[in-house]
Amino acid sequence: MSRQSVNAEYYAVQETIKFFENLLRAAADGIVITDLSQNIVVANKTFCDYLNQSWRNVIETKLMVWLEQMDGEASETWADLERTVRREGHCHGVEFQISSLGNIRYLSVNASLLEQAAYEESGAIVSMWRDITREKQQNEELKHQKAELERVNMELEAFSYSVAHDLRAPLRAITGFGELLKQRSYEAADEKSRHYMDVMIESGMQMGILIDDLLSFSRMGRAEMMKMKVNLNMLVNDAVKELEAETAGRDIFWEIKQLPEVEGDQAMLRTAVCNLISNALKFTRLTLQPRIEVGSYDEKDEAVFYVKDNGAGFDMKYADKLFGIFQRLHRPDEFPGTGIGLANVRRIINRHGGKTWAEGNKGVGATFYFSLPKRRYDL
Amino acid sequence: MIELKQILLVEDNPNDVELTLGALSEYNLGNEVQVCRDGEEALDFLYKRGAFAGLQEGYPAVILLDLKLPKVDGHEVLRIIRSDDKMKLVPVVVLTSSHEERDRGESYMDGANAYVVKPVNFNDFVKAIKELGLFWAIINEPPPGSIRKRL
Repeated sequence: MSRQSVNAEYYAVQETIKFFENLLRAAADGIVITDLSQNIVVANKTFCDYLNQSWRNVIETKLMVWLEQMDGEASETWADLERTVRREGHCHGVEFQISSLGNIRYLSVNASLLEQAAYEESGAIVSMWRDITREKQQNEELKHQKAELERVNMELEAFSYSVAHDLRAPLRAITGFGELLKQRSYEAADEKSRHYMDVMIESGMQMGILIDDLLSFSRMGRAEMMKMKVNLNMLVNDAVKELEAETAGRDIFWEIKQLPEVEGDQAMLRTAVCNLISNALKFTRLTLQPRIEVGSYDEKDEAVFYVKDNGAGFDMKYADKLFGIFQRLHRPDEFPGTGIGLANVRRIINRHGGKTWAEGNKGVGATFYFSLPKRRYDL
Repeated sequence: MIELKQILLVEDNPNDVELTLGALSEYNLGNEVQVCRDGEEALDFLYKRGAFAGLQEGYPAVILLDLKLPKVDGHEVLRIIRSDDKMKLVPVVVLTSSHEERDRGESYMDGANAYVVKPVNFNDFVKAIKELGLFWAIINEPPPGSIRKRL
């Protein structure tokens, strides 16, 4: 070989070595090659930074010496890792805890046997050390936030339950003694007094309904869901039957389409369907030819159901208030109600992983929608 | 000859006591109701001790028992009644504001004969009390050892 070609080859090799050295230096993960005796044969700057040491202090030292200095079981973890790598050729995601200058770093390590002729007999292992400290911290924070949220939710539900519950006894006294008073003095009382008594008792009843609604609303949030196949057409038919008292004597045109079977808690979905149909009936009370349509259509990942009526409707301006608890868009003398029905529906559907929304046109009608995610094997 | 059976009402809320007595009086049961305002008083009455020492021996035909009571609560009273050899047969109807499944389950497990939730609606409340009184103090035959007054 001529001197020039040897020089050229040497130069090319040097360039290649420099290229890979630069790669190692630029790598965001710590990269280490250890031999059979766990000597650190190669280490990049990132790894040395983990140990808070200069490259010179780290190279040709034993990895175990550094790991033994750390808190926790870093050295045992490495021993396990080496056993796995020598047995299976590689391993992934082994977590280490490294401390330096009082700071703790969490690292996730991938390691494999070096398949290079020069290293094979030496049984060298190359390991990549990735800093996951921030990820771990974020996960911890998320876990705490989730636990806190759950705790606050439970407190809220327990609170609303106990408030509603404690209100019942004095309410019973108000309506009870009100009725007794009425029994004793209605005949002898003048018109105004009778009116006052009636209003008092009526308000007491209304409050009783409010409290019951609040109780069932809070119970809905706490109850466990029992998932099963639910036939929505059956629920719709049951609801129509149940609401017979409200349909008696009225000429309502029902259009109930064939609805798909869904997966969910039957009791909860029954309540949701009943609430929506009851609403449709309520708000078509003043409509001459009431028409209620129940149907569904498919979206990519979910099935959408709707109840459409040609009743009083509502102004879209207030659409986002509809599903709020105790929110009403009509005065009590226009249409009675406590305003909790839709809040219940939203809560139930939310727990099923679905969405609720509505479209309305004042004086024309309203359509209430809810979606349920399709079961995975239906997609 | 009418035999009047005794009812023990254990209830701390004075308004509820008044409404209950009023409802029971419709079947002329009002006079035979002993009212105790907390668990301790109820037990004193049943054991005929303390303020009730010297009273006629025997047990009520039925005990209407509220759960949320001061001093000794309803659950505890029920357990004590059911663990006493002589008292354990006395019928106990838990009469409470609580819908809680936990209370209901516990009451039945402790040996309650019935569990009635006090309706908020007054008319329903009166109806429920009247029917309870009619069944337990008139129709039902209590176990041996219950107090009867001959008129």
